[in-house]
Amino acid sequence: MNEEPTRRDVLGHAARGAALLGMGGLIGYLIKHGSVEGAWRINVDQCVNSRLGALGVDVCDKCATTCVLALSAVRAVNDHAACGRCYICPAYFDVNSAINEEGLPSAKLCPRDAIERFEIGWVDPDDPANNYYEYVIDEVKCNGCGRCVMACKEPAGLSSIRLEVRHDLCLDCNRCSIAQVCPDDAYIREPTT
Amino acid sequence: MNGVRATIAIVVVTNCVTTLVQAGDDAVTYRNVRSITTCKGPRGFTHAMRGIAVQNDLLYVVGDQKLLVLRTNSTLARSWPTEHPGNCVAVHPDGRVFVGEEGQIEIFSPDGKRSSVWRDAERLDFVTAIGFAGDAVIVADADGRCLRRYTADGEYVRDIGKGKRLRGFMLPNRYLDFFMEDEKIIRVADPGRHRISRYTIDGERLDHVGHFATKSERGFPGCCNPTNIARTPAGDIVAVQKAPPMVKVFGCDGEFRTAFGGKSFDPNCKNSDAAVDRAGNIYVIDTVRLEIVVFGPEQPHGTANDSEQMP
Ligand code: SF4
Ligand code: SF4
Ligand code: SF4
Repeated sequence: MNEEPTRRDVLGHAARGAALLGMGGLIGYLIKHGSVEGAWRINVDQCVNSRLGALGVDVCDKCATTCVLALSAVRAVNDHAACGRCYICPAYFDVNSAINEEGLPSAKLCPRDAIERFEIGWVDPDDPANNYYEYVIDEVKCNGCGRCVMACKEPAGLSSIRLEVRHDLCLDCNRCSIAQVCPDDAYIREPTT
Repeated sequence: MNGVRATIAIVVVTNCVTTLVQAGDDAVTYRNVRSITTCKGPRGFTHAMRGIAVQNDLLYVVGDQKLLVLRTNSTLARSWPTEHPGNCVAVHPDGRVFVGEEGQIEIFSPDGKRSSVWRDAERLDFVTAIGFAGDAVIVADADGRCLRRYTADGEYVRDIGKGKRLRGFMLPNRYLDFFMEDEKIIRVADPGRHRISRYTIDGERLDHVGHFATKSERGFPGCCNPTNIARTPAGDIVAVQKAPPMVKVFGCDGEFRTAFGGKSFDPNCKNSDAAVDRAGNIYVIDTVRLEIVVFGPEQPHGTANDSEQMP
């Protein structure tokens, strides 16, 4: 009778998806570089955009602005297992914008319009607040500016969005320009084996 | 409603409150009276403090794997262990103490002897609130996203909030709270919809109050608020929100009365349970500092910032 996936179903699917995504990135890196020496990684517990407890501080956009690539190798990733699938997502909407006639914020937060919002499951035709929503980040558009990461941070959101280095894009510079300016020593080099 | 002449009162108590209350002449105002710190530390909670209830001038608080009973003057009356970490606590009119946990409800005599356990892995997946309505026991199962109605003996009767055209409460923060308005009507927080809804104990959905708002304190901000609710003796609704933590009071018809307490909590607080005593004092858990923040109506009932230590 209940058409909704259970919390465990959702967690299970999403965890498998996240694991595949992570493996895909790593395999892509290994194929490209044919090396097991090391890779740049973001420590999300250090990065100010995702570090719990760092509230009321400015978003750090250095991953977006200092990468040597025209479009940074850092992208935002939404862990759908942890996402609340909220009606009003503070990472998707600019919650400080004017409220429109539907009772929703009228502007989006992402400056590159890289987040898409889809209703999932059965859709209530009468009450949009009665639906679940999936927030999907378009990695082709995202430049890793970190705004959505900060907005989704607990307790405002559920901290389901984080920044990740895309190893299939990263040039693996010996002296990463982001690592040199990262104010939180969150951009770290780790062995890949 | 009487004619409302808006007044603004700024109440500053040394080192402590500070409540900016905007209210009409007919509205009750609140101020931060004190913080109860006796509940933290080796004899209290060291990791998590989750649920609070008040009855007959005793505060019942659960967290970690214990229950503390405090007098309202903050001294410890008694404490006892719980099998699992308690998410919520409720005191039956006959004095029995119900503690909601993951997968079960433990029931204790007033002096802490465990008299029974209701285990129901399917329906008591993650119990975050319990209430009583005559012979019925209403239980909030956050993982089931609904309320469960049981008999006084623990026999399952029905779900509330889920079923035909009701897909369950939206609980991104894995917390479902409610209170009994009377023996037949339930007020339940529906944070993902930014609403507080009313249901009968037979599962009929009646109506709701509340809306999303970031700039106006009359609504609820963020992805999911309010997380916790309680009822004043006058029948007003106390709603606690996160990000930023704040307490808001609404009339039973949803009319906004006042908002306060923003500076009294650690900004990282979430799912802060609340309870109200007979005098209308509001007790709210600071889930980060492991303290209870007390707000008194109109006149302060204690001295400013008189945080108390366990004697
Ligand atoms: S990191 Fe910036 S560009 Fe990427 S999705 Fe988030 S807000 Fe948009
Ligand atoms: S290693 Fe180079 S290419 Fe990769 S993120 Fe750092 S600066 Fe950009
Ligand atoms: S530079 Fe460092 S702190 Fe800034 S977004 Fe990148 S990892 Fe986070």
